[in-house]
Amino acid sequence: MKRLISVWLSLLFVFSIASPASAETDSKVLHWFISGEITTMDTTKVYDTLSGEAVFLFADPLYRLDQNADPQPNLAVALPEISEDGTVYTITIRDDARYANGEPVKAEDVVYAVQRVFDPAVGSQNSSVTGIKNRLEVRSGELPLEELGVKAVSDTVLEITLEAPDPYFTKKLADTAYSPIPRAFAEEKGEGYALTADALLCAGPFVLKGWTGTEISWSYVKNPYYWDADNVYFDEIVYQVVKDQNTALNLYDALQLDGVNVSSDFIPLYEGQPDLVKISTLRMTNLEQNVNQLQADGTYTPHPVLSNENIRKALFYGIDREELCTEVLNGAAAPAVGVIPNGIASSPDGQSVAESFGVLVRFDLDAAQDYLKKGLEELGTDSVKLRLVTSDTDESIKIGTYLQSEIQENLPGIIIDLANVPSSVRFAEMMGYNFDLALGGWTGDYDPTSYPNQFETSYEHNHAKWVSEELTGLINALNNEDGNDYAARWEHLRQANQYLVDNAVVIPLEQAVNGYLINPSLTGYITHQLGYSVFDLSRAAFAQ
Amino acid sequence: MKRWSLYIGRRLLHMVLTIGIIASVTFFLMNALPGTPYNNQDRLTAAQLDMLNRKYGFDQPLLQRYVSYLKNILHGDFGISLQFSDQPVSMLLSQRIGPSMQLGLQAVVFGTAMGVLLGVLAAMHQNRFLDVFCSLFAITGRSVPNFVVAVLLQYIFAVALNWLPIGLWNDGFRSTVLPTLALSISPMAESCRFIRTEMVEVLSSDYIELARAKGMSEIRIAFSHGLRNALIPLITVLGPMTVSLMTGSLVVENIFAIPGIGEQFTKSILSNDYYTIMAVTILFSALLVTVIFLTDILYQIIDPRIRAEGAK
Repeated sequence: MKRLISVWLSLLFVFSIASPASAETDSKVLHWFISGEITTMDTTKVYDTLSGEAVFLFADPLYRLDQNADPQPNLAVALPEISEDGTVYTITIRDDARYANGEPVKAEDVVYAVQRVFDPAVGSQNSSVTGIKNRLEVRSGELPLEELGVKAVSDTVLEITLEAPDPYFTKKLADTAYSPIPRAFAEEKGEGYALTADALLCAGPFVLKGWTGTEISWSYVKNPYYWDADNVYFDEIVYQVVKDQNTALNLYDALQLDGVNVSSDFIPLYEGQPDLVKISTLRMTNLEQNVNQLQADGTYTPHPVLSNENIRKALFYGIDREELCTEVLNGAAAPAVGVIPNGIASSPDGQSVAESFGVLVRFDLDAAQDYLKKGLEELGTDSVKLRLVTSDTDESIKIGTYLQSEIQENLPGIIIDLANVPSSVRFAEMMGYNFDLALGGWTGDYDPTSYPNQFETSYEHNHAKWVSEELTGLINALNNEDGNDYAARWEHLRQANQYLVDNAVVIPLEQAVNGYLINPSLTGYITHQLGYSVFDLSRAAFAQ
Repeated sequence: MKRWSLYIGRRLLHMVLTIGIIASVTFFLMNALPGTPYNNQDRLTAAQLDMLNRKYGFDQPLLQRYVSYLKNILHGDFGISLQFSDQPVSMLLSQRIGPSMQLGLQAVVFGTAMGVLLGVLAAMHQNRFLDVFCSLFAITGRSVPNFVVAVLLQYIFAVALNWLPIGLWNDGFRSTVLPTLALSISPMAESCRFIRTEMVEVLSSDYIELARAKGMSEIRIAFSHGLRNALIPLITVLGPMTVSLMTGSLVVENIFAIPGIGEQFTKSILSNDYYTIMAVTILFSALLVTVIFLTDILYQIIDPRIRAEGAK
């Protein structure tokens, strides 16, 4: 028995031996966070913010966006030369760019990277590389890869041909998909390309280390061959996946991480502290409505309730977004100003979306109740029941519950049945075009057109199944006619935004704000609203 | 010997059949799930969807996909994960199963050993303070979810006392201590409860009375003579519990930022990651049927009465 007890005691001792956790003392190592696993490290397959951020440090795109979201030459030596008709971009790349193995970067490598995005054999889910001539035909296999509108003119010059002029295209060239990939290396790795750090060769400021495919911790070490290595401060940046918010905050407080994200629940705890950094995003959360319903026989019939414009307007004006953002989301969101969010672009004279288009979304209880009264009269009933489907994430459940109580309280006569389901189920319901209300949204990347485009008649993700020649005309003008006439484009965007609000096709709720705790001595990092990566840490440093 | 070989052969055949049935049912159920396996589904165009379905073979008839999937499995190819862009599922599992198994085994060994000790002590002090304490512990351990325990342990031992790491899998054995303790609460409480109940019965039996009459110490009686008989019912619950702990815990792994497999069980289903769902299901069921098989064998070794029953 004595022996047994001593075994237990030693076991307990082993479990509890401890020394204080070691704080990082090497000031040239940054310990950074990421909130989930990486779906891909292949720059041509990136489609989400986690991977977008993970590839950002080793990618070397043609341009990098500065703090004002203006494109600055990166792998390219200068801004592109654009042909008179706005469809041909000629870009010269630097001749001193090198891969991490010392080999030179060639224009052909950028061509190969862009081809991979549309190569059916690669199967990229990327949707941010747009506008290039013949991309759809190449993706479907109708045309060979060589017919894609991107060519190397020489070792340092490449030419990109667009289907139509696009004033945002230079910004889009800051996407990491426009980073060079050496063809011989990638073809040698075949299907295994970028599946591990060893199967990746890049030319960016850092080199990926320790990634074996499904890691939750890995690092980036400085690339000695990088053309701007002198301005890269950190020797190493260590990434750690931390999914639990409490753990992330504990690790930050214990100085084991230099940055972590903060969910809306915890933002009030850090309000007013220098560590708290809030970054407005382009993620719009909307209450989506199904206006025309798909029937079993493949035809569409008007939704029995939501095809009524007055009911839609009652919902539009009956929700207090200010309360949603401050009380429910603790400041991790800003009330929507319209269908197009603030920050995605500015007017020809430099005004923001809200300044130029006005704040079109507001809470007006009296107007909402008037619309409801009219709507119910038109429907010949005194109450309607609508099912609201949301994802089962914490935030969606919170917003869904708020909407249910807000609508039922402000609009007596509307009963909301709330269904919290997995995201894939919610999405399948919306794509079945047979639902009532759904908590949806959209995050644009560079071009504001994608927001009104969500409701264009022929667009397959037009969940409302809204049918409108007027809106189609505006979207056509934006995509095919306006070209580089920025003033005409802005006017069409204004009209599309106004049209969607006037008809209450969708009910914009809020524009998300991300909260982070960042070591106050970290300087020189850039934050982005556009594109996939929120942070550009490539030139970050600790203040001396 | 021949009887044993026949018995084991029959059981192995049953095991393979069971796994085959589970895999087949899962395959068809999983394909009935709504949505696509593509994470970026809200942005993909119809043409992109077609291209991806062709690439991954999801455009083929279901039956054809089933047959080719079974063929691939027999060749050791479990397909690729669509959550982790094109990573082979076998690699995903092999990289993730290690930490989960280590924590699970540590938790089972530590939890059961502590539970058995507490259970025996409780039975020896029936209706006295130690017994009440152990019963209270067992009830609490069964009722409080392990993530609550995990958060408490993390706060006390890592944040407040700074004795152990808050989380992360980078400090060797020290990184495993708190998650192991959090996971061990359930097996500890379960085995404490089982052993206490069994031991109370065993300690009042005739042969124990005889041992007492012969002047043996209470401790020797309990551990040398009582425990062996009291262990049998525990083995029944211990097997499935071990499998469930070895295949990871979503919450505990997230709290301590451990690269385990726990999350894959739920995440793969929620994201329709077909091949990962299949692989984790096959893995879990294979482990479970193996453990049940081993438990049955162990029964026969420990208890001669069961052996005699099997021989009939």
